[in-house]
This record gives sequence, structure tokens and C-alpha cells, in this order.
Amino acid sequence: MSTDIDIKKEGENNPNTLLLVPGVKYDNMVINVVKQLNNKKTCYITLNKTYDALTELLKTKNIDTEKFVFMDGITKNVRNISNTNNCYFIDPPSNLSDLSRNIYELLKNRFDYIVFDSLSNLFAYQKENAIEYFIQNLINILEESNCRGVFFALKDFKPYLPSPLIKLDKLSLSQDEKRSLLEGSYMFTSRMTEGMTIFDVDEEGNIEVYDGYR
Amino acid sequence: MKTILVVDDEPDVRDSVKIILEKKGYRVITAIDGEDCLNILREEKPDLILLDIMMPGMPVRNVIKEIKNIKIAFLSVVRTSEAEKQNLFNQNNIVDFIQKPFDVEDLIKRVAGILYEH
Repeated sequence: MSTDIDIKKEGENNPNTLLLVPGVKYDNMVINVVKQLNNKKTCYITLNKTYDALTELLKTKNIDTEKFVFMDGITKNVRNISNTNNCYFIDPPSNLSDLSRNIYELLKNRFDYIVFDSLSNLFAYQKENAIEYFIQNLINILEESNCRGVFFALKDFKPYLPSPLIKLDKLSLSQDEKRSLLEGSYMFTSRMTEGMTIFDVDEEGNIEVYDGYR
Repeated sequence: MKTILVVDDEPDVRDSVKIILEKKGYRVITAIDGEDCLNILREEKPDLILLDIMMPGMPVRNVIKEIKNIKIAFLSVVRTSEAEKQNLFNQNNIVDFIQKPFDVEDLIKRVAGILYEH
């Protein structure tokens, strides 16, 4: 089992890669991928961190953020902001057609890679069917644009739920109440991963590689 | 009894937070999005609003403009920089920024802090 990803090499084998990453390894994996794409024309689409938070993180690792173009789908939700030299602030992705259109327009500038951070965040706005359609449409757009896609997704089971369970026990919840807190999860359907190579990272950093549904 | 309005489009989050805070003796009401929140505020005046940042429908920046004289704490899975947080705290009654995933005890402590110490 590997513990590292050569994202450019993988991109030669399959243009679309899905990185399933647990919360504890998430920032490290983002930094790892971005460092590898430093000399490629890359567009980073962020629905997970604001542009400010993301560039703050990357700069701590001396990554030159001016080399990248960013598309931020969060900041405009909480405050008014204008585009900068290297960041387009778009409306939150409540409407995935608008998000597709924005990406399509941006890709006219001929990028080698897009980094999509992350598919998990789409679940805050849309249901499975719409997300499936969006991903497949985006993969088609990438193919047309001769651009490779690196998709991130948070692997953790219900990332917003409190854990570990012992902390819930302190609140003296009934079994039914605990169950209602713990059951359910967002799930990646097979159509969402169609044609992608999946890098499944565990909490120790070990990586299992397998193909999405074909 | 202090009243808290939890605004989140995810039913699991609404239910989780409601169960946790009701156990601590708060009255908890819920709204499914920004528009629902503003409708509820026509009838109710909660002591605190826990407001998810990422929801379909009305942008949060428009929702908070409409809310007067009620403390708001953001609940968010997205990450913002420290400078952005400070900027948000200076406007529209925003008093805290609670990062998801949150720890139950931390949530309880922060809610109590907002309601009884601010």
C-alpha cells in the first residue's frame, strides 16, 4: 500500500482523480497536491475554505499562490467582494448549472488541471441526482478542454457529528437519541465516481487505489 | 428559559443540535433555511441564532442584514481566515464562529458563554 500520490503521473493514466481524504489528513493532502501542480496551469475551485483561508494555508508552506487561478464559491455568501487578479468570487453553488457554466467559461483560458475542493461540500446544497449529473457534465467539460481533474472529498462519516461517542454518553442520551445522531451519511453513488481513479486515504496516510464505476 | 433558533438545511444537524441543547435546558426552535429563519423571527425573538453558512436559497449575507438585536453564531463546515472572522464579528451581531465538526461539550460551553457572559 502506497503512502504518496504522484498526481501528474496519475493524470497520464486517467485524467480524473478522486481523493477521498479523512479530516485529519485533509490539509496535508491539499498542500501535497498543490505543490505538485505548482508548475502547471491550474485552477483551484474552492467550496471548502474561503480564498483567504486557503491562500493563508498555502503560504505557510511557501507555495506561490499567484501561480494559480482560484474560484471561490463561499466568500460571496457571507460578504460582498470583488474579483481579484487571480480569484473569481462566485455565488454559492445552490445552482449547479451556474457552477458548471462558470467553470466552463474559466476553462476557455486553457488550464492543465482543475482542483475541485470538494465534492462533499456540494451535499450542503444539492441532492444526489443533481450532484451525479453535475460531476458527469463537469468531466465532459474537462475532456473537451483537455484539462485534468483532481477532485477532493472528505471521507469522514458525517463530518459534522460529534465524536467520539463517549462524549455523547456524558449527556445521558437514550439509545434512540444516539441512533438519531449517528445514523445516516452522505454517500457517493457509483455514478459520481464513474471513470475516475480513486485514491482512498486512511488516517495513517496509507493510500488504496481503485477504479470508480465504469 | 433561553431560546435558541437553529438554522440549518441538514435535518441531521438541526436534530443533533436540538437534542443536545434541549438536554441542557434550552428551548430550541429550528428553521430549514434563511427564508424560514426570517419567517420565524416574525413570531419569535430567540436569544441566540445558530446559523449555518452553507445553505441553499437566500445568501447568508442577506439573511444577517435582516436580523436586528439578536446574537448570531455561525455554524460552518467551511474554513475562513482569522482576519475574515474578525471582520465578521464587527458586523450584524455576529458573536461566534463554530467550526463543524464540533465537539458537543465545546458547543454547549460556547452557547452558554454567548448567552450568559457576553
